[in-house]
Amino acid sequence: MTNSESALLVILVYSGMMLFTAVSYAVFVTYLILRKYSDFGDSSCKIDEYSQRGIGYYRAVDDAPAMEKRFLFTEYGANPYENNIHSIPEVLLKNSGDSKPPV
Amino acid sequence: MAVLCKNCAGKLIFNPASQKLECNTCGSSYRPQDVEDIYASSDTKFYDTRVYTCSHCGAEVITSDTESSTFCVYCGNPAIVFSRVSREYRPDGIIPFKITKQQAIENIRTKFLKNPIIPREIKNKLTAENLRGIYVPYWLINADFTEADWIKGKVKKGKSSETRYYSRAGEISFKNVPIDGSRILNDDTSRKLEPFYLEDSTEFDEDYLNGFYSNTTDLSYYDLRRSAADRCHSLYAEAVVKSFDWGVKDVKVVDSVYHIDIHDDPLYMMMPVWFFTFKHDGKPYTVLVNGQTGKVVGTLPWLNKRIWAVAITVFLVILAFIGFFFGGIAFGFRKHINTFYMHGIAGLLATSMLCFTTGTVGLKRIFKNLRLTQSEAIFRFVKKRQE
Repeated sequence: MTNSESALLVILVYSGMMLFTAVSYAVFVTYLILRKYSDFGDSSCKIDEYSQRGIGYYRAVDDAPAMEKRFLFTEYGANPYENNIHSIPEVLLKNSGDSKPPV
Repeated sequence: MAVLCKNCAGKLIFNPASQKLECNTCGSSYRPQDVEDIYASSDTKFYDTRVYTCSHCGAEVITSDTESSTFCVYCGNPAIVFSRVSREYRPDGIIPFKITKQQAIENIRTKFLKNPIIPREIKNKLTAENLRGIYVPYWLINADFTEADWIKGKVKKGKSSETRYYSRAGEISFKNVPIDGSRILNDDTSRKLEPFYLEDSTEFDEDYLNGFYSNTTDLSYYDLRRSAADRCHSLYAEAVVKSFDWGVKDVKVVDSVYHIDIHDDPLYMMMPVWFFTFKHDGKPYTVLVNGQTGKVVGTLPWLNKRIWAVAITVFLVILAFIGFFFGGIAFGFRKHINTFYMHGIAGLLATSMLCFTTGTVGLKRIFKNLRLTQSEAIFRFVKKRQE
């Protein structure tokens, strides 16, 4: 590679990096402006609002081996409430005529 | 249906400021629970609503009001005639409007005032005529919930980071989770309206509907269960991700299985929401205000020229600034470049990658929110309801 070719390559690489950096900052500033002036109320409630007890973990494995995934879903994936029967409000039963069946 | 004033037989309207029914004609006021509704159905499971039809464009307008001489919101034609009485299931409770129409306008206006990117014509559209108070149906559920998650995270090891996997399985009891009971209102939008504080809730009385629109739930039990499971899953998964300490980065739930058991008798509630609807460049927009807390929810269109001007200015300023660094390297001043200088460039590149990721993810979310605000369905939903 000649000196002029290597100089050209350096210019191209640095130009690319300059453009990327400038575009990145422009995108970020645009996002900040739109978030402040255009997008309102983008938050919802946390779990504490609806549960006083918090999550009770049955199982918590860190740095889990691949076989753990299969065990996890086999052991804890079944529906424990399957046989629970509940009374359903009439208005919900009335609306079930045009609803899709449960998945 | 609504009752008339005992003194003058004038129309009674619920005033959120006084929390009383007020007569526009003679100024008398009554507490809703003290007013005997002579039109009330003897069967307490139901209440009656009135459906009006516009003889000009055929639109249907639903109201629980006694007022019949009203105009059509679709075409503005006053030729609207009473069509039928519709019997609806009586909700269990209601949170009456606490925010008045004027307060809702003020809350939106504070977002508009000194806002340099919103078109002026939209600011001008913020009038009382474009704001409608609608009681939106919600279900309040208590539920047991169980979830198993397979989670991915990155842990720093030396100078690089290593991907690790985590398993979590647990259960939780949820209490009073609000689930939007209307298919027309997007769940993502209705969630942003939260919280609704139940301290203000009261037993349902149709007199609270006077002066407002209302809608009824169109969910089946399976729809409710699906929405509730999704809602509880998002709350649960967010809490699981946040439970990891600072040592684990980029935590994501890769795979999960969850089940819900909704307790007996979920509560059917009416929640107060102000809808500000307008059209801009032929597209409909709806901004919502929580009628209890005053929280404003929505994404407004912006002046493209101004946003482009800002983006291009930032682009050019940054380009000129970093041109000094990169230009120095490219044009043979390498012998003057010290370690500090190189670290500066590396830092700039690293932060630019962070800026790019944060910016693109954030912009994507804003455009998604804008699409929700532009929902034609919600726009029509609001326009169908009229005082």
